Amino acid sequence: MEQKLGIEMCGITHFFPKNNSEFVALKDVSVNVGLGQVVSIIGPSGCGKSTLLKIAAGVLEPTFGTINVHGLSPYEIQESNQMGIIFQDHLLLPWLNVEQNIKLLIESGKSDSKVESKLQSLLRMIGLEKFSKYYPYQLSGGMRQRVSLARALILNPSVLFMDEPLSSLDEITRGIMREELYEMQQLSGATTLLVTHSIQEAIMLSDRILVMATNPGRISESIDVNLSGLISRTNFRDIELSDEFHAVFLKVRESLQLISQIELTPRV
Amino acid sequence: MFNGISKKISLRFGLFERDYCSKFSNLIYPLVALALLVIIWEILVYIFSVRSYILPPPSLIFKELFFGGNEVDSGIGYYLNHGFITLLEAVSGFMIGSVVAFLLASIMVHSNLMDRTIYPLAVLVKVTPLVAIVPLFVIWFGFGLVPKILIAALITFFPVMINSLIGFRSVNHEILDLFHSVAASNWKVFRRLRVPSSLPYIFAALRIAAPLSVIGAIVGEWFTGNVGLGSVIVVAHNNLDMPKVFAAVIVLACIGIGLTTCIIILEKYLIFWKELSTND
Repeated sequence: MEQKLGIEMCGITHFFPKNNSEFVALKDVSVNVGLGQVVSIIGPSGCGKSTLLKIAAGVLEPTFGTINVHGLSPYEIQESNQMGIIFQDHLLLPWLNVEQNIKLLIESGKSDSKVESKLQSLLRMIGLEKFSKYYPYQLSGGMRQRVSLARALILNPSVLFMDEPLSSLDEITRGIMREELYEMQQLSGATTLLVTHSIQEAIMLSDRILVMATNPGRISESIDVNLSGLISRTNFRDIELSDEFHAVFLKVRESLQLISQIELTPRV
Repeated sequence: MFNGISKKISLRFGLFERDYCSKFSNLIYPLVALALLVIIWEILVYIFSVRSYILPPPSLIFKELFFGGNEVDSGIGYYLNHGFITLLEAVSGFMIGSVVAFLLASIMVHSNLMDRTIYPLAVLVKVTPLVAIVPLFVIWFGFGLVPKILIAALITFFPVMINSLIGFRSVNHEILDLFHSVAASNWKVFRRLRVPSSLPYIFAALRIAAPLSVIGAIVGEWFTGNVGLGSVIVVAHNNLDMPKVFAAVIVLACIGIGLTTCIIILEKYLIFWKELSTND
C-alpha cells in the first residue's frame, strides 16, 4: 500500500561558507516521513541533524534539493500556521508571562483563529493552569519546556519539528517530559521530525530512526521501531525494560558505533 | 510545587529588602565622604586664607546658592530659573536625539542599503567636535533655545543609535526562526521581539546620553547665552565670581543626577524581567 507522504525531502545538499571555501554540511540527503509518523534523526555532533531539520521547516534554504510538506512548500505551511517548532532551549520571552508566551506565535502569524478556549485547554493539559500569569524566571526548567510545547501545540500543527527538545533537562524531568511529549504527539497526530542525541528518546517517541553520518552529513541507516503496540500494553516508562526495546537499542547503537569507527579511521 | 514557588517568591522579596538595605548603605558612605570633604575644604580655605576668587569656601557657595546676597542675580530662585531653562534644553534635545536615533536604527536594521548610507554619516556627526558646530548653529538658528536643543540632540543621538542597532540585531536566531515558522511580518517581529529585546541596550545608552545632553545644552549656552546655567557660569567666570560658578555647577550636577535617576527608574519599570531573570 502506498504511504501518504507527510514530509518529503529529496536530494538535499547544503553548503556553509568557511574560510573563503565551502563546507558541505549535507550531501544528497533524502528523507520521507509518512503522514502522522514520527521519525527521529540521530547521529554524532556536527553531522547536520539540526541543519536538516531547519531546512525541512523552511527556516533555512538548502543549496540544492526540494522539500514538500503535506504536498506544500514549507513556506506555504508557514503561511497557514500549521507548523510547530520546538528547540532545545525553551526560548520563552522573559517579558511575557506563560499565557502571553503560549499565544505569542499564533498571534504573530497570519491565522486569525480564536485562541482563548484553546489556551485554557492547553494550560490544563500541561498542568500549568494556575501558573498562567507567572513569568519564565518563576518557573522550573521542566515547566518552561512544557510552555514551549504548548506554544507549538496551540497552532494545531499538522507538522512538528523538534530539535533536541529535552536535552536541557535533568534525567528525572526528562523521563516525565518524554512521556508527556509522546502523549501530546499522539493527541495532535502531527507528522513529526525529531532530532535527538538520546537513543532511548528516539526509540520511545518514534516510528522510525534515521542514523546520520558526518563529513559530509548523510543518512547512513534507517531503522524501524514499531513499539506502538507495546506502548499501549505497558506503562510507558517500563518499555525500556522490554526485549523489543533492547533489540532496537542495540541496532541503533551498533549503527552509531560503526559510524564513529569509520570517522576515527585515518584517511589515506 | 506551590510551596516551592511561594518560597521562591518570598525569597525574592527577602532579596528586595536586603537590596534596599544595601542601596541605603551604598548611599550613606559617599554622602559621609562628601560631607568630610566639604568640612576639610572649609577648614583649609580658612587656614590658608585662600581668596574667594580662586577657591571660595563651601559656606560662601551655599550662601550664594540658597540665600543669595542683596543682588537680584543670586539665591535659589535665580538658580532654579536658569536651571529650568538648561533642563528644558537638555530634556528636549535628549528626547529629540533619542527618538531620531531609535527611528533611524529601526530603518537601518531592516534595510542594508540604509544601514550602509546612514552609518558613515552618523560616525561623521560623532567624530566632529560639537564645540566647532555651535557658532554655525547660532548663525543659522539665532540666540534662542533651538541651537542649544539641537546640540543636546546631536550629542545624544550617536550612543542611542548605536545601542538601538546592536539591540535590534542581538535577537536570538532560534527565536527569529520561530517567528519565521509562522510567517510573521517584519513589523510583528520588530514590535514583539526586536524592540523588547533591545531595551537593555537602549537604556544603557540613555544612561550615558542623559548627562551628555546637559553638557550639550551648557556648551550651547556658552556661545549664545543670556539665559541658562551655562551663561551664568560664563558671566560669573568673567567677573571672577567663583561662588556663583560653583553654585551653578552644583545645580547642574543635581540636574544630571535627576535625569539619570529618572532613566534608572523607568528602566527598572520597563525591564523588570532582566534583573529577576539574572538573579534566577
